[in-house]
Amino acid sequence: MENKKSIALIGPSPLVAKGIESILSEMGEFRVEFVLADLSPSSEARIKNTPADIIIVDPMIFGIEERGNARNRFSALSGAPCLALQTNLVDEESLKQYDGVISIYDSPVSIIKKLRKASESDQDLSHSDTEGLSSREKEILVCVAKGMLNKEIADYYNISIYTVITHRKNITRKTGIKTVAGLTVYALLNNLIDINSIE
Amino acid sequence: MTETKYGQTESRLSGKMKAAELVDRDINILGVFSRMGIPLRLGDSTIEELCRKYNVDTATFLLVCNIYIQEDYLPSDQELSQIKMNGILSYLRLSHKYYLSSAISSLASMLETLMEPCGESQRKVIRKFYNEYKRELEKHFEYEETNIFPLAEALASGKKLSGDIFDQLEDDHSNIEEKIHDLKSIVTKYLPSECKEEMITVTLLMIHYLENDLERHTAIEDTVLLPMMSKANGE
Repeated sequence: MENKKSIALIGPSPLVAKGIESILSEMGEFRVEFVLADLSPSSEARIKNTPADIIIVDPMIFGIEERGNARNRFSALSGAPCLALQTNLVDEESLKQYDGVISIYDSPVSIIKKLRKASESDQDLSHSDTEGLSSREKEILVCVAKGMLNKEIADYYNISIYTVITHRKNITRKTGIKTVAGLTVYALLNNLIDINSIE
Repeated sequence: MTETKYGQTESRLSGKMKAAELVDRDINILGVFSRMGIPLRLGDSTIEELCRKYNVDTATFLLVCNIYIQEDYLPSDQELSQIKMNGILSYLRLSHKYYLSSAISSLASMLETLMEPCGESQRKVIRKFYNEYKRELEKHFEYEETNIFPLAEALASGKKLSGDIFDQLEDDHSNIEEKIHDLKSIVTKYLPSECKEEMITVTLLMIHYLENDLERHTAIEDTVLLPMMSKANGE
């Protein structure tokens, strides 16, 4: 089989699921690996055990009170980028958690573009630790060393707070340095920041 | 039989063992001798003989050594019942004294020598990080000595608390452990190229030794001191 990126689709509507599957199979490049109707424990296990390259989720599967923190549940299961599939009116703030939003009125081309963008930003969060830090990781590291909070960094770069956390986890994994003080030393020794900018 | 950190299986240490063999088995145990007041001219004496000679409680000495030699060593109730609160507290206080008056300043001067060929701002960065670590360590030891140890003494002399002892304690080592781990990563991987090889080697050996020693120290507090306090409180 050709090298298509796999997608896990989570949403209650069979009609929408079939629609997405059919659009993606016509367009190539992406392929729906499996569809789940909800996020039950067995669905969670499926997501964890069958790693997909991208997760698409309809926020309507979450109750109103858990919607605000829903993205977190996927971060615990998979490192894949996670896009919201908007089938209904959902508050703007909760959509911000996701790495992109697909609307049911989007054209096939724009859906593919959004998926491509999410999967590229994931490559930015490279999982190999033999390489040094990526340029985005270095930018985030500098912010951390300057004492910025995750929320401030997210706002500054206009990315989700979950993306910031993933970057920070990767920085720690690659450098072996956990504390902010230690990361500051790393940033200074590697001339990423000037000592005067932190004092 | 218990699995050791070197993957061999062996039974608990015995007082009949030669002290020199013990050091040979795990060099990290060296510090325990001096803190217990046993000078390092071990000769052919057994552990028991040395303990008797220098007035050290053999059960306490063996328990501490077991914790050094075997990772995740969990003392039995019987072992805990053989040792005295004062004995273990005096060992822990001597350890604190060793870290603060000896180990920490030795490592500080090693880092200074190590960073000597580098620029002033780089030296300053390392010094600042290390001083912060040192202050945290001092604060942590001070908390234990002014809050936990006196409580342990009171419990040993019959005092009872209204609640669980763990309600009263906030003994968190995690940040201190993370900092020394970070220092190890920095020295192993990210020092400026001006630093001298041989200085990197000796500094790293010292950091490894100290990191391990502090981990064992925490293990003694968690698996010996706290269970003894809890037992004295009738929990």
